[in-house]
Amino acid sequence: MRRDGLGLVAGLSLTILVSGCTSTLGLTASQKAAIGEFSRATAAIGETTQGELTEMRARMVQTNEQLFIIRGSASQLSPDAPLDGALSVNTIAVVVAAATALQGYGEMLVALVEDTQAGQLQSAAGKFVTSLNKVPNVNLSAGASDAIGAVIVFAGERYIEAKKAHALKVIVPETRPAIDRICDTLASDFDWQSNGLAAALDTQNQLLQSAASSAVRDASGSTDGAAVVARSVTLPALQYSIQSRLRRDEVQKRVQSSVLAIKKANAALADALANDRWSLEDVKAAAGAAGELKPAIKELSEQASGLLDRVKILTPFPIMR
Amino acid sequence: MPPEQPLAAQLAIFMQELTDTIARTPDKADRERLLAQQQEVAAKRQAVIAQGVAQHVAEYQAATKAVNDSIKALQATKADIAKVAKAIETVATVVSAIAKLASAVV
Repeated sequence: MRRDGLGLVAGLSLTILVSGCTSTLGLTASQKAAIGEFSRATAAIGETTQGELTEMRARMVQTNEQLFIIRGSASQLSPDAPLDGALSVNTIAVVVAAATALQGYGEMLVALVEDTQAGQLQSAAGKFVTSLNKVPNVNLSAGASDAIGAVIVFAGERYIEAKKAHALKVIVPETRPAIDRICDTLASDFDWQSNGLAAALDTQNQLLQSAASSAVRDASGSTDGAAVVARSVTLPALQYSIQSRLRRDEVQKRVQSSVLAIKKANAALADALANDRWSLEDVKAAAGAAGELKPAIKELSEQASGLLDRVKILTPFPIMR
Repeated sequence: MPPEQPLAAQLAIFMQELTDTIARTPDKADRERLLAQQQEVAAKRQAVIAQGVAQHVAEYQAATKAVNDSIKALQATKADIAKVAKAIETVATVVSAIAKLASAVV
């Protein structure tokens, strides 16, 4: 089953053009359900992305630590310098804010289409705006700011269905440029062939895998004490680098695809809401696929160590290709 | 890889092919040479793929061609590891081309 959601959002625009329209006073139950699923998927991906960013920084530190242990000064690393490289706390904090904004955006839309407590709606809207303000070069339009400000004010009122529907129709189109930019930033940072965080981590991991595989080979032909000690260091390092490569190909690639799927689905939703023409059956499908990201990553994390236990580490090359 | 791929993507593939070639290379001296070359490319990678590096400049195009050629040479070692000597030469060309590009964009 494809889990990246890209294929499933491909037909979204067409479907939107084909059917139903929304009432100016509220949303139909099916429309609410569809937007709710999309929004929950968006929130889940935002949350998962935050966790993966933390994991990537931890991997960068451990990768560089092991690289220095094996290669010493030839690694161009220093024990006196930070080992997090391009994934510094400040850099990660900005990208986490982008992911948090995406999560807040999803939660805010959920709160606008479902029967939620006023506090939840206010909290989600606040999280979205606060996080977005921490991301450089991403700004809300005046229309979006006004609409979200109004949401925070009217959230405590009763009988606000029409206001929620109106807010949704303003917020989604008006925030689209900001959401587009956030998604582009996250997609780039999770693309190991681009120039963002995943690429920086992958570069260091390639160096570690090269150094570790060479060192394992050097130490593999002897049973003397020094060779045993060398293997005890280099073998786990090689396993770790292979695990990072698997994680790059499975988890990071999936995050990238899902973020791009969210961008595409959100653009279609914004267009539909702006033009009063939409039916969101395919949003349900797209949201469902995107929503699988979180359990998929959890499953992979749980299996990764077990997988590596089974790696024939002295002949690791088959799993590299 | 198509030649129109940006340098960042080509370098990522190049680094991976280099890693796999190092793992296949039996001769320690060859491996050490490749490790040192990989380290040199890694050190200059960020500078040459940063946004704003003009893709039309001669150094960028030369680096892109060198990386593309080296990827092919590294892939050729899968079938015949004896071709690693030729691959090392192409990697050296990449190191030189990347250094020139890095100097040009500073």
